[in-house]
Amino acid sequence: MNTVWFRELGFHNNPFSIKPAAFHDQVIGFDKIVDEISYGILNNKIVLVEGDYGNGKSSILKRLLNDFGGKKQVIYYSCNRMDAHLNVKMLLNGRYGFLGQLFDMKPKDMILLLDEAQELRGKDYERLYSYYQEGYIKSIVLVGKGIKKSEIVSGFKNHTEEVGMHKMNEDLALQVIKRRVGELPLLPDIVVRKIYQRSDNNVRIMLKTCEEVCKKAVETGRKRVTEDFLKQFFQEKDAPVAVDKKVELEKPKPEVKKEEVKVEEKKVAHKTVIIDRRQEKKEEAKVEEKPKAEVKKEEQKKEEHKVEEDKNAKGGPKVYRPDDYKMLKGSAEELLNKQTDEIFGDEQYY
Amino acid sequence: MEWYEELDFDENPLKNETKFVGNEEALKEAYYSIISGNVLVIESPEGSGKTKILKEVIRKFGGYGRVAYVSAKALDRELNIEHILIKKNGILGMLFKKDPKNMILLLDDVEYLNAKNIERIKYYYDSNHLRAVIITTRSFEKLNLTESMKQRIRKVISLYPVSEFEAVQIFRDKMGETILSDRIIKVVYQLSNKNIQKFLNNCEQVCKAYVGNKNLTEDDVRKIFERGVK
Repeated sequence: MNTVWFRELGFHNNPFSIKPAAFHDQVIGFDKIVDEISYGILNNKIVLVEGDYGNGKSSILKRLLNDFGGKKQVIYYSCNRMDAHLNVKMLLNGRYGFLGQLFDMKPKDMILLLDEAQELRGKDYERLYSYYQEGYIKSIVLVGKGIKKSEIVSGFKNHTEEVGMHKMNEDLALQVIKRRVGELPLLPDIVVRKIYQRSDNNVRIMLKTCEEVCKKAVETGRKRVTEDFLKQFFQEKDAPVAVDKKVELEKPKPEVKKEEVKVEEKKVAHKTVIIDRRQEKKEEAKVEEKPKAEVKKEEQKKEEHKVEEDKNAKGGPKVYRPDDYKMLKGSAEELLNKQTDEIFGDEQYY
Repeated sequence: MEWYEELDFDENPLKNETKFVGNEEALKEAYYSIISGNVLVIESPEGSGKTKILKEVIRKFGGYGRVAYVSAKALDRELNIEHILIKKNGILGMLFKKDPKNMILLLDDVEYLNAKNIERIKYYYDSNHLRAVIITTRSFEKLNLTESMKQRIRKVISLYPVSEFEAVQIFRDKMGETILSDRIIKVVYQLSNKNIQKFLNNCEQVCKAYVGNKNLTEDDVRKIFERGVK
């Protein structure tokens, strides 16, 4: 547990965090909606935004905060924090901090952004309306799923403007991922698109699955997520969860074994026989522990093989046997006599 | 003279905290979900080591005033997570309503979360006051989570009961190598229905008998249990 997959890839924090607007204040893909809402705000209207879970409602509010913030003119409040009813007075007093509460100072022309507005009741709307009429509040943005429209005060209704959320298309979802991780060789575009299709066009679920996929890929030592790997991943996910320890432990092994077989095939191609069985086993164990280090080891092995081939070319049997110490001895002397440049091709090292 | 003093222990060794044994996968998941900032739910029946996992988490991440551990057993019906989080900054923090950042919330053995608290957790998690949340419970369905909260949960994992071998390991970690044979410990573990808390309590009884009679057999142990049942 010393290394986590995203630390290995060079991120300090989880790049697929599902918190709204976790990393970038700039939110992609809602230009039209944001334009409509800003238009409503500038015209002193009450804007209702409705959308499904995980489609970026809160992210839109974060973006609005960014656009209109800075002049101490915006109040953001999440309605799921309120106790019994919304305390608008406290929100307004809060602008002047502690003193505001003492002297009951209220600012004028504020913009109110209310998240999770489905919690609001008829009384809250009445209170909001009275502040709205007195001019303390300039405009209100209500965001939530299933806002109770029947409870909205009739006075508000002349000023309301409804904005519907639409689902993101694939290209935008791809951009979201690109924003977070940049050009990551681990996650090709096709894979991201497939993941998005599998997650009901829901951005939050997509981020979650991306995280799982990347985690698994890094832990099994892959450098690139292929479509086959993705298929396998979804199959395992759809299958009923096996609680047994054995099943969980056995799953990752076969993949590693396949790679080992490949390594052995290469060895055969070099027409050399591996000498020390013990060493091999040790290396296998290491491979199982740290599949990431595998690639480097393979390279090292290749170099070794080349050296061995050189030895074989200089006379002596083609098969390298440990018992033949004569051959070892002779070749070592020959090697010592020659200069290093002749033995090792420069290309291997530079 | 207490039974453990006769066995050369200064205090009851069965109540010592020792190394975490069994369910390493679950512990890894817990560590990972904290580092990556996720919501994790651990679901398992009584006495399978839920609290032990949370204790390990506290040991690893505690010390900076960032971990908030709430045991639902010690609470009244009314739980307000907001108060717990605000308390962290002391009186001044409460006056100026300063919210802490990057806290880790551990909710132990929650049977039921009311809608208000779910919403509060959701809000604090979304606004990054809470970095990660771990909830342990006996049954996930009884928690009554809303749809939007369920979306935020990365994974629901369940613990499997500790194997007999691991039970022996736990006992050896606490009591040393010489006391009782492996076989007897295994019998005790079977008789206590694979519940670790019960297992440790029963071990205490068996150890007491062991002080009187150094050559305990399996039958003796079974007799002790029969007496206990009566």
